[in-house]
Amino acid sequence: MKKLYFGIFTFALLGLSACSDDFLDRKPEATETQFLDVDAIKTAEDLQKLLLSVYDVTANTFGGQIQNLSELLGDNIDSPANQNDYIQVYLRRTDIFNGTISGVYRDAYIAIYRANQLIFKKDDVSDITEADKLRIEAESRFLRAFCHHGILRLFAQPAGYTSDNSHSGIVMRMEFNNEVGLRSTVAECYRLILEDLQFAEDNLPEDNGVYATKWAAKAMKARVFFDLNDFDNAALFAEEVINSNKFQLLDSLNRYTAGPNSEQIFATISYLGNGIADERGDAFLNYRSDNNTNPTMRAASEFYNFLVASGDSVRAAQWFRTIEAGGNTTIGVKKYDRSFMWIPLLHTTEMYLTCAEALVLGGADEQKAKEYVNAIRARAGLSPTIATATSLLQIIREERRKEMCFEGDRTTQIKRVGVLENIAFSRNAPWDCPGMVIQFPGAENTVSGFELNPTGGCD
Amino acid sequence: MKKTIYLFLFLLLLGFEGFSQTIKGTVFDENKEAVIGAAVKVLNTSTGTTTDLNGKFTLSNLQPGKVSIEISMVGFEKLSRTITVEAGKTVEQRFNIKAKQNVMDELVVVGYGVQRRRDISSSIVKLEGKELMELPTPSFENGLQGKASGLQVITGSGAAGSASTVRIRGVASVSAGGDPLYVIDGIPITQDYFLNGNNGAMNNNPLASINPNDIESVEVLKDAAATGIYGSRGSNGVILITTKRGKKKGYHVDFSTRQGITMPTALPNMMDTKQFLQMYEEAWVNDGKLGTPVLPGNIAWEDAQNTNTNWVDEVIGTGRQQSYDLGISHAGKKHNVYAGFSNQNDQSYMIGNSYIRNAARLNGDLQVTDWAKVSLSTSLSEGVNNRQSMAWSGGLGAAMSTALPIYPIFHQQDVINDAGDTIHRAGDYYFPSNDIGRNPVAMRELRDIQTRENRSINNVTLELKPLKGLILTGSGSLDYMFWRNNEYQKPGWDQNNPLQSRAYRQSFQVANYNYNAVANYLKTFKEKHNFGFMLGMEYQQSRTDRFASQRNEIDATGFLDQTSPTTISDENTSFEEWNFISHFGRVNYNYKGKYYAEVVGRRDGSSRFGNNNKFGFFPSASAAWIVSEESFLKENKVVSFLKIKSSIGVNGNSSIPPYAQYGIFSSSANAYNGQTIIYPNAGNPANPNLRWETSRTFDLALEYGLFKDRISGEIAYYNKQTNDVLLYVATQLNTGFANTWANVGGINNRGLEFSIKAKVIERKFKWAVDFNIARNMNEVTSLGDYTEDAISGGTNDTRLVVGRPIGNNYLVRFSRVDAETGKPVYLDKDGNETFEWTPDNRVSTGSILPDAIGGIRNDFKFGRFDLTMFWVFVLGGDIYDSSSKRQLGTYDSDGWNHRTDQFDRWQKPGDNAAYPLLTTTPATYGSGTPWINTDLWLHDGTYARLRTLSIGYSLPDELVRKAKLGRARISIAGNNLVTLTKFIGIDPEISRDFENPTDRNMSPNITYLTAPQQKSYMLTLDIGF
Repeated sequence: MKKLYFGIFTFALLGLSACSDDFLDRKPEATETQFLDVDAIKTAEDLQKLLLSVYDVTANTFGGQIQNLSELLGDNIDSPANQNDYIQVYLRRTDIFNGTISGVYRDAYIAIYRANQLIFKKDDVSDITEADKLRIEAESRFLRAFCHHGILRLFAQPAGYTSDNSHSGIVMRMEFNNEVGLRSTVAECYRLILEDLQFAEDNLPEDNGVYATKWAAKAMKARVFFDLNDFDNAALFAEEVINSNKFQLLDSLNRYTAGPNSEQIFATISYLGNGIADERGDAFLNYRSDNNTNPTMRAASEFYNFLVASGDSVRAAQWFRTIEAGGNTTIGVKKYDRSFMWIPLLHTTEMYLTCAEALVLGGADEQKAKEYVNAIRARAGLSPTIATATSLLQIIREERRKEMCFEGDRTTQIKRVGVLENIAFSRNAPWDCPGMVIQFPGAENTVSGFELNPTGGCD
Repeated sequence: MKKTIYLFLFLLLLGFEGFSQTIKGTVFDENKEAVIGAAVKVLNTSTGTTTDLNGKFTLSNLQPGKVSIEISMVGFEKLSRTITVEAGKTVEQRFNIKAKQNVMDELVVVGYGVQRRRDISSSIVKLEGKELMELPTPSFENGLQGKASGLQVITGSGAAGSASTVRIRGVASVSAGGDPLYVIDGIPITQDYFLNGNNGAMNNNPLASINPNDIESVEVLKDAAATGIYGSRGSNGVILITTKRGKKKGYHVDFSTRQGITMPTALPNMMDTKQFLQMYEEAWVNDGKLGTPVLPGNIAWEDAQNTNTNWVDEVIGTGRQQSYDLGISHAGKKHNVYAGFSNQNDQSYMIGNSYIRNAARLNGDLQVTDWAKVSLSTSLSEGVNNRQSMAWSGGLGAAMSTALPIYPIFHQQDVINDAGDTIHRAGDYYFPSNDIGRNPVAMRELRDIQTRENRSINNVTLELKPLKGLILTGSGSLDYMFWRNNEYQKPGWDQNNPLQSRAYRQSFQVANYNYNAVANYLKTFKEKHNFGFMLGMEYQQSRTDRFASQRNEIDATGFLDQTSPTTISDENTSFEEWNFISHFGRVNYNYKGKYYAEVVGRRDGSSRFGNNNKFGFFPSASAAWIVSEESFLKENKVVSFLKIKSSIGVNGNSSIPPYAQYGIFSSSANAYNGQTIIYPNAGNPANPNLRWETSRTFDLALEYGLFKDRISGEIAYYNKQTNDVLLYVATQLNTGFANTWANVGGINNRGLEFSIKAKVIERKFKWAVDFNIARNMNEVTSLGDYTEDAISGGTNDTRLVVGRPIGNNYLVRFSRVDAETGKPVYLDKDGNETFEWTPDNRVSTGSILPDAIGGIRNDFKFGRFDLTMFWVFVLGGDIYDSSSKRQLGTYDSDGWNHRTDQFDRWQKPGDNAAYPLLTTTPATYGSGTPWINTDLWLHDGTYARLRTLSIGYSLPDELVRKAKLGRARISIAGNNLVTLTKFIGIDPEISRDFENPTDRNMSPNITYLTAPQQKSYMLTLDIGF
């Protein structure tokens, strides 16, 4: 009998190792760098750090990544070398598998998700002032609008493609949740973007260090209204920014400086200091031809020849170089031949050119328009134009094409002019052919009901 | 009285005579080894004895005349012999007894216990350890292929140390595991194939450090009734491994060594320079381009013409294999010990690639009292894998892709830049396009990568038998793995910084603890109602620590090590922990050994799920009827054994990452504008509602034995419906997340299995056949609200499609090459021809699953010679040759070499060709991408392969005795000598490198620059004494 007791005792001992309720709770170890989401946002400082992360990921999206995709659809660019995702965009046959596209798209929405989280969580924090609360929401909404707009330009036909803009736009994520996202109409997209920008304009400070200001919101509104071919509003906001005297045209052609400059209305920054080298604008480095004989991105020789033929010797010299390799000559780009650039996402030059064109198109002050475009021409060593009406318009548009080349603006302008005049081409393709709109990443199509863009080239 | 005296005298006489009649004997088994402790009985008397340590016995005091004696021994057939003993004489004889051939009585390891095969109502296949040793691969699971119906093993590749894919009755999971649970001596071991991700196009093999020579037997648990006792973890089957223990009395030593050479089963047919340039030029001209073609890597045309590197030859050679195994065992009355030592060195045919394993094991049992036993198992092993990049990562993969024949290995002359500096000297490695990945020789010579795994699996068990029929077992174990991946980049590796050398190390440490306590009680009522009760609990905890360190310097001379003079420390970067608690019980009952029933229940709790879903309950029930025990069959001449068995049950699966339920925030210092940021990880959002994936299985089987079991086998049907499948789904990117874990939809597996074993000839010449074949049908039954694109297999175009098997190839269909233009013609979704390739036109194509898989084995024995011929086969099922979209596609500036198959291309109107006209731009093929996935790359994967052909010779006893050995056998074996297939790629037996478990389950039929399997010739010597 003794051995039975002994046996049962031993067995019970082994069997009783299980005990309390939270026995099966195994949480990830909270460290300085990783913690549970429920513990993440407790103070105003946490909110501010989360806000900075929205800038961070916006800088990732707009460090040339989104601009290059836009540029590749246009006519300033040669077929890219050795980058199949880029070649696909250049061929205007984008499909759901393009990893580069999907990366850009994802980053923009990560920024938007975080902005939504900020707007949602701002009231949960007790140690925050009302002013900071408003500012944080205004910055969040500015960035949300900025990212939505960047995506809208690429993934949908432009405003005006249908008369009431009832054609499909993009997914507008205005709430903090993970629900299925379906595309809104372009009209709705622009309405929501402008609503965000209005809030930003009303609540952002005049000065905010290197972050978004009231003026950034106004400049953005000028850009958005110009996209909509709303000339009066475009000119109104562009002039407000110009006349604020907070921003000036640079004397130099280089507004991609490694640091602040007077043209930056809103810029993302590369940080160098404290032993940290944080290079942003890295996708622009695909153009870099001073240290690379085989850059991915090169200028189309047609564009270069047009620029040279227009007597544009200063920009031709400062921004372009010929590359000889393997018996072939191609045109390299020098515009981004440097490290640690700050990327001016909204700059005075754009305001000048937008204002000039909007004024002409709106039938307003042609003289003023000429002043703006001539300021840009003068800097490039070109004589002032005396053209009027349609010729002036042509001059302004050519000036914009040359001055803002490789900044991701060209394709938008082709489309915008296409809407206005119903005739515009990019490398022989009509402005509104399906391939001029980028296909959504396959992930968007993981739930039923999402409408992909029509696939197919523009050939 | 006189009569009485006479009788007495007579008896006395008889008695005296009796004293002088003796039989002396020696009992041997089939291996000519003395059998110790066999019972020897004179029939119809009470006289008897047992054999001694030398197998000898003496029976004295026998009556003269005919004496019938019977020799019996557990596990052997009884032997009766009638011997005539003359008065006063002693007869000496040898007795050879045979091991019991009745497989129905063999013991089979089941979860938490052992049962007689006859008594099992679930589906379990037992394999002997020595069968696994037939294949000279370091990892035991490779030896399982073709040996059990319904068990599919796909050997990784010819690379030493590569991981296999093992599937039992198809695959029922997608993102959560999919591999069976491996249990060694009761320990569910650590089995993570992605500890090192897909580093160098190779997944680590957690089974490689287990020494196959230590394995006594492997039990494959297939149905829910068998796996049910492992509850939550048995949904993809269970493989139980039992290691060797000392069995035979006395001391025994076994030694074996194997020496051999290996080579690839097949070689790729890459183009040489002349062919490549000719084709390239044709593409250039077809595109209307003028002038000299611009070649990849900026190589001038004339230079290209003067180079012709055969990269395949540069990266492969003849491999060598050596192994030494030593086993020492000892058994006494109250104890037994087994000690095993092993050294295996497998140098694959890829130059610089090897796997070396040293392993030791000590197993022992000690009967402390007649009711208490202590058992110990401990093993220690070290696996060193000297690695080479493969597939997309370099090595042979590069030789089949980015390494063009026009690239030289070395610079032929000094290279001087514009500034007049010499930047390369003649003899320096040539890096095409500044990319070392395009020069696999440089990659091999300028870098060392080594994975070193130390592993120790230990177990202590206490077994108590306090009452008759009651067995209490308590067991504790630790499976510890320390795993390091070392990389050393020599000066020259980094062309931009040629003096720099670098050393990196990633390390992991996994400690997996397991405790269980089990009570078994056996009781028989009225001699016919036999009950078995089992009750137990188990607790498991696993913790993984990750470390990383690196050193960049110009004087590093090798791998990082602890004693390195530089101040580097292994930094513990993170750890993960999960645990598991289970309570379980089993009742089995049989009536007169004729009717069997068993009920199993298990309740599991896992830390991986949220609070509401931590626990799951997994019941199963089974029944069997041994029809041959019924009176109407008992004396049947044909049917010697017939059992019908059936089971139903529920299994679960929780193999998701430990913290999938939680949302995680990260913080980065100096992130933007030099400031600290915090942000939610885009990896996956919190999902506290995750719950168990569950499978309901129904199983029906018939086991048969004919003609005294000379023919035996099994026919089985199963149907497994898995619901709440744990999927790592791609989410809409607009949610701000890329993926999320979710319980989605359902999967059905059903299939048929058939096996037959026959002793065809049983004379001096023996011939035995073992054949099995199985067919699995797999179907995704639901995907909830998700579409086909929600789950994809890594970079492969495989998808989940409702109504189709897991890993369905989702492709645009290729129709033909247009005879007029030479352009490829595709089919749109509706089957209309089009020149445009768009993903919109993807449909389910091909047949992912084979029609059948199996193996056939023939064993011949004649005298001292034996011959084994073992074929494995896969019938039907397509292979997607993913790399041919580039090897047979456009001649883009990215530069891949092409295969000579492409000679069959369109050249002029009217040509009827297999491949379209050559081009340098995907636009010609109606696409924006040069990598065009279509069903043109889908090929019939049917194959049959002579897995093993071996001829053995056992040395004659006399010779063996002279050498003071117990036995000696020498054999020559060839593996993978013959492959019969129509597959146009290199090797139809493939399992590519995978990105994650989802990819592993979704892309079973994809090859992408995958290295072919190895072919080998081996000489083996086995001796025992």
